[in-house]
Amino acid sequence: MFELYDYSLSDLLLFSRETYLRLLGRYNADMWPSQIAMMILGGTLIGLVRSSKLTSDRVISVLLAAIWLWVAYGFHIERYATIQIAAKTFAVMFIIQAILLVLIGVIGVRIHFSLSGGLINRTGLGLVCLGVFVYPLAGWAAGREWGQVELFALMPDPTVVATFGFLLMTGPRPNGLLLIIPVLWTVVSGALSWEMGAYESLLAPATALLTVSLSLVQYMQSVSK
Amino acid sequence: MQIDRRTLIASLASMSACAALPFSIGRAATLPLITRSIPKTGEQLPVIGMGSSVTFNVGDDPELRDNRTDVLRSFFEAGGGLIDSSPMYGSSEEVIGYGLKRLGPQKKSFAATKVWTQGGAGPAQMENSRKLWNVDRFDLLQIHNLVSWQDHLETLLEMKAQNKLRYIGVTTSHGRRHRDLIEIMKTQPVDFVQFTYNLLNRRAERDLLPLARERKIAVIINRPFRRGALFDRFANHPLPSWASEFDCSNWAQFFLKFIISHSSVTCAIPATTRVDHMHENMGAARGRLPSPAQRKRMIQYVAEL
Ligand SMILES: NC(=O)c1ccc[n+]([C@@H]2O[C@H](COP(=O)([O-])OP(=O)(O)OC[C@H]3O[C@@H](n4cnc5c(N)ncnc54)[C@H](OP(=O)(O)O)[C@@H]3O)[C@@H](O)[C@H]2O)c1
Repeated sequence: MFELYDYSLSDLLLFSRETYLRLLGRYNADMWPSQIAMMILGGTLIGLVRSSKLTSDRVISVLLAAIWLWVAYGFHIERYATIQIAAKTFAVMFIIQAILLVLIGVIGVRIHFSLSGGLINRTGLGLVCLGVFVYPLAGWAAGREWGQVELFALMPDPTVVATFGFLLMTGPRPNGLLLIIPVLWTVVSGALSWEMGAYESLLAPATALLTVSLSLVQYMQSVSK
Repeated sequence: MQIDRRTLIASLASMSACAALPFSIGRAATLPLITRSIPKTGEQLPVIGMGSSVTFNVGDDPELRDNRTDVLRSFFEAGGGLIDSSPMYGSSEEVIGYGLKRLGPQKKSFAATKVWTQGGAGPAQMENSRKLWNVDRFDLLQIHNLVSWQDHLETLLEMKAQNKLRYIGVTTSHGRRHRDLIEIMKTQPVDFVQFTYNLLNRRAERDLLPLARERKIAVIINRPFRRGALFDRFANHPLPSWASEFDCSNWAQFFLKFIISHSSVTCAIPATTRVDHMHENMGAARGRLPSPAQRKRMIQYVAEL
């Protein structure tokens, strides 16, 4: 029906940067002070990775799933859908990711997080810190007001960046199924950010590229062993 | 006091800007509004309407909603009529409805939206749009980007026969689905057609505009500013002094008067978020229009910038 060739990227960006940033501002104001709680949650998740226990693996997966679910509902459905006609589709993507995290990490117990200290593992830790603590600064540095920055567990991009980090801290390599939706999201969000001129948001696609490359390296290493 | 060349030029420029100012907000408003007739009925429509994609998609933000209501108010105050929207534009229809409710009934309002879904879902979508706009019926319903056009056309013809809408249209933009559009214009009983035409995109002059005239189809021009790109490209250049010969005092009017001076064009629908821009845009609907020779000069001028 909707032949995609009939539309350019700009046809699909149907709101202005101002409208988008004001939406973030109102969302952050309504959620305050949960931003602080979410940063503490991020720090707690890192602590759980350090403990390297089977139960903590499950707890991390279930908490990550809950965070993806919240972003699907609290951001995509409740907020973004008021200006973005594709937001409900994005919400479905995020819900599927939450289900995958539960199926693979909680029921299947097939995700094991650890702080092994290797280069890729440390990069993972770096990405988690980037998503949880540094990401808001990127928006601020690009000229946004403090109230309009994006935060882990509340907004998609920093959540996806931190998720990449957690997945890079799993061995022997990240579960490929869990990478699909986050990577797809960064393609969509990167394209829209580019069109909107929100170049600071290109950080998320850059981390996707890094994560996919490192996962490939891990895959090659495991094949050659 | 010494006056150097730069100061002199700057003073002359600001004097001429001041001279132009009263025209744009003073004299222009007293000149008669230019209207064009809808070929199938002879009904008159102001040559400048209003688009709403992006600009009116502000969600539930109360401050932005009120600001857009101000834009809408200034549109009507300046004599505007046709408002164009679509279910594709997120919350735009709802925000227009909010504005129309706050402003109260507007005699000149000409409500135009689109249907943009698969065939079977068309009637429900159109009814939803009607509720969002707060109108009894639409003046014009258009098939957006020719999506499922055969199915929708059947529904629209039925609705028109039952007096549930006044006119039927089809839309495209940027020259997409050009051949299909021509075929529809040649064979189907549509009252309006909407496509892109501006100083940098003149392809429609070759076939769409002459065909619309021949088939007595009213023409709405979308993307008159190329989504604002015309300003990015030309607005830092001086407006030629001869633009005042056809009553243009800013670039917006220069771009718009080029479009509406084509005799096959019924209405252009610029979109804006700003009341001052709305005044400029509506100013294009008054005063003299460029002659064919002046149109050529306009094309040449921007080509050389
Ligand atoms: N297939 C279709 O059916 C289709 C496709 C495309 C468009 N359309 C319709 O056509 C309408 C117009 O097209 P568009 O919205 O894409 O783009 P447009 O009207 O060509 O340009 C809008 C841009 O121009 C700027 N602008 C407006 N007046 C100005 C002024 N006086 N001075 C400086 N800048 C000014 C606006 O910014 P400010 O807010 O700052 O003024 C906005 O960024 C749409 O809103 C939609 O209703 C239909």
